[in-house]
Amino acid sequence: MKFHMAAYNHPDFSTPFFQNAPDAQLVAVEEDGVSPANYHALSIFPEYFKIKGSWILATESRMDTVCVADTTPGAEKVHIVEFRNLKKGDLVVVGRSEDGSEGIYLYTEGFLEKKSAEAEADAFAFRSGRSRETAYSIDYDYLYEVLRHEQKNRGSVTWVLGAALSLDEQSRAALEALIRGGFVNALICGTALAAFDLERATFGSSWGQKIFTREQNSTLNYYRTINAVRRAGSCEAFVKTGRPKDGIIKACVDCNVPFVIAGTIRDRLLLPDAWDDVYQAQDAMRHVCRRTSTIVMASTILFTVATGNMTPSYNEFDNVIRPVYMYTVDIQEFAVNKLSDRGTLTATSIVTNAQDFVVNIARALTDF
Amino acid sequence: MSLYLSPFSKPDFSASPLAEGPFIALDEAPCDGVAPEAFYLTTHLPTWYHCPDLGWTLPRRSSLNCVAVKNSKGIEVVELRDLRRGDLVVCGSLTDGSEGIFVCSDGFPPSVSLLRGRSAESSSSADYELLFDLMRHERATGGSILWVLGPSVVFDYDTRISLSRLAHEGYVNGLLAGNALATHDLEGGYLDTALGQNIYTQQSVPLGHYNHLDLLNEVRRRGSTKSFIEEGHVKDGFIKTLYELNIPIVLAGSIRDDGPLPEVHGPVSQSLTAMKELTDKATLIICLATMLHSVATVNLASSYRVTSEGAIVPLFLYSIDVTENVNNKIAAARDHTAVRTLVTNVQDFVVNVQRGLHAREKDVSREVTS
Repeated sequence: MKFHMAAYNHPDFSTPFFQNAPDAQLVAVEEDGVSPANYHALSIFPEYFKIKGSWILATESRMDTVCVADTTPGAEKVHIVEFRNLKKGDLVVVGRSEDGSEGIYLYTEGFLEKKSAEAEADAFAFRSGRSRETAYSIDYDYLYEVLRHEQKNRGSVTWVLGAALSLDEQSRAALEALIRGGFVNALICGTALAAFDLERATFGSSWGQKIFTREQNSTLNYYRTINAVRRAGSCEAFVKTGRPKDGIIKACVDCNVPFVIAGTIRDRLLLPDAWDDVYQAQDAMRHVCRRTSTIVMASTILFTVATGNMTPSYNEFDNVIRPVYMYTVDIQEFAVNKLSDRGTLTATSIVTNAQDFVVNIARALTDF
Repeated sequence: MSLYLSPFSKPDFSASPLAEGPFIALDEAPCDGVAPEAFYLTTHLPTWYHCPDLGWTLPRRSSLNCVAVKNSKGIEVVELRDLRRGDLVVCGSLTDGSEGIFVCSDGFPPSVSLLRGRSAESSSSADYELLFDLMRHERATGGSILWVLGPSVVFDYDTRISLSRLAHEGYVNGLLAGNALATHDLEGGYLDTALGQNIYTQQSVPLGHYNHLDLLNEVRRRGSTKSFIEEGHVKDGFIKTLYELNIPIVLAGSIRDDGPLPEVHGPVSQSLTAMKELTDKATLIICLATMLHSVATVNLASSYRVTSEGAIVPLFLYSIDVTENVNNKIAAARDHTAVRTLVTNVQDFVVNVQRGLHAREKDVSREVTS
């Protein structure tokens, strides 16, 4: 399928309705981390706020957060802020109608193309009920095109990956090829993915086994790996000792691909690079998501939902509003459909083994 | 309580080769939070350490993936992250006594082990019966029943009521959960909805998608869930019941959280420390519908405990999930010891347990004795 970037059309704000609409009402935060009542919460769709007479589109948006206005004359802006990050004095937009009548306008039709033959198949159409029986060839071909486009046009592709991908030799090597091939611009993962990858790279084992025979065998090498990385001070310092021979983390370090490792309560011992505080982890993840143009999330419900919720469906890159392409991959239908249940409607989901998925992508895009 | 009466068969430490076996090897932690390179990684199973001053020593509880530290009190099972520079850490990797470490994986009678390959088609009646016996025994003997809950249990009307009844009847002594469970339960008590839908009819209410955010914001405004409840904003619900009964709650943060509620622990290290305080007190653990919290808990919890009379008894952990993969992970983490798994919708499980226990209370002929 031929890739083509959906163009974005702003609403016509010159009509009397929009011209006459009031400015969005702003109320100051009285206490850090608490919003004024009747705040307006963001959705995943493009939303405009009328500030000092002009309609401003929220960029770097995030659902279930609030809009803080900067009313500096001539430099009016809006910032999309989590409740916990609100600061005393921030001016929060209040009002819960989204039709423009309170200076808040939610717009769902920006990417719709009139009478385009491809409109139906556009990645930005709502898809529901994806299952193991869905045919995915067209989605794969589209994804290859998207990834090639991003690589050529200096887009920013973020991969959000679960530990299963570093437990398999082929998928681990496939990811390494994709990183070295320039198809990965940031990685978001947990300690398990990184530490299993480094265990294999350092000890040649997974769960302590050279050949994968049981789901769980010994975690000794896994913990010895984390212990050694803690001793070294960071993943980068550990990679530079030369002990890890290959793998995902080594490729990230070699290619200067940033990675965010978020802590979870399943981690008894964190890599030194990991965020212990989950809210600091969210801030670090959102820092990446703010500039992400395509995101691929595979084999982790926790990280997929977390990242899906903080990644906007559209964003501004070089002054152009474009869709943010989002893919979710999991063997469980429940997992891939969870994002659409939560209102993150713009993801393309694929029900498959994530190990096969990345191997397929690497074979299509690289010499792997 | 046949499972409790069956004695644990201890290895014979007075006979060869254990009696004259080597002592543990110790090495110092090189810095805070880092173990010496050859550290021994602990398991949840009963493990004896051969100490020169104390002989073969069994800690009162163990935990997966920790280190054993020798100090003046004996052997302490310590998280790697909590190590202090200079702590004396047990080193080695063999568990047959030849390095002063002896793991006893077959001390319990075979009935304590879980049969493999449990699926949705497996008969679960016997597991329910055992659970009822264990719950009544723990309640009667001052034990501690710890519940680990995912949010789905408070999305359903009957389930939410059953949980509160179980707490009132004395079957809940602690809760481990995340921000979502508490938020949605409080949303139900505050606005009668779960994620904006009426908790019983599931009719969406106008602007209902704001409800959980409003709840979070209003609790955060008060600074604590306790004052929000005390001000009368919460009609009913499990969290309210636990506050009224003074039952401890640990809420662990995750990267998925909105809000969060003021009581939620942000750092995972802090969450784990707080969770472990409760798993270390627990005499029965029941995990429902949360892969994240169930796996975290099974990693923390010992599979045995030493009673005040010195008996070694199993610490049973139940895992209930509709996804077999979750149960399989839990069973594997526990080496199929002192664990039971049920593949079902947790709504049915909770309602069934509450009704099953209630029925037994009326039936004196089945009274358990301590």
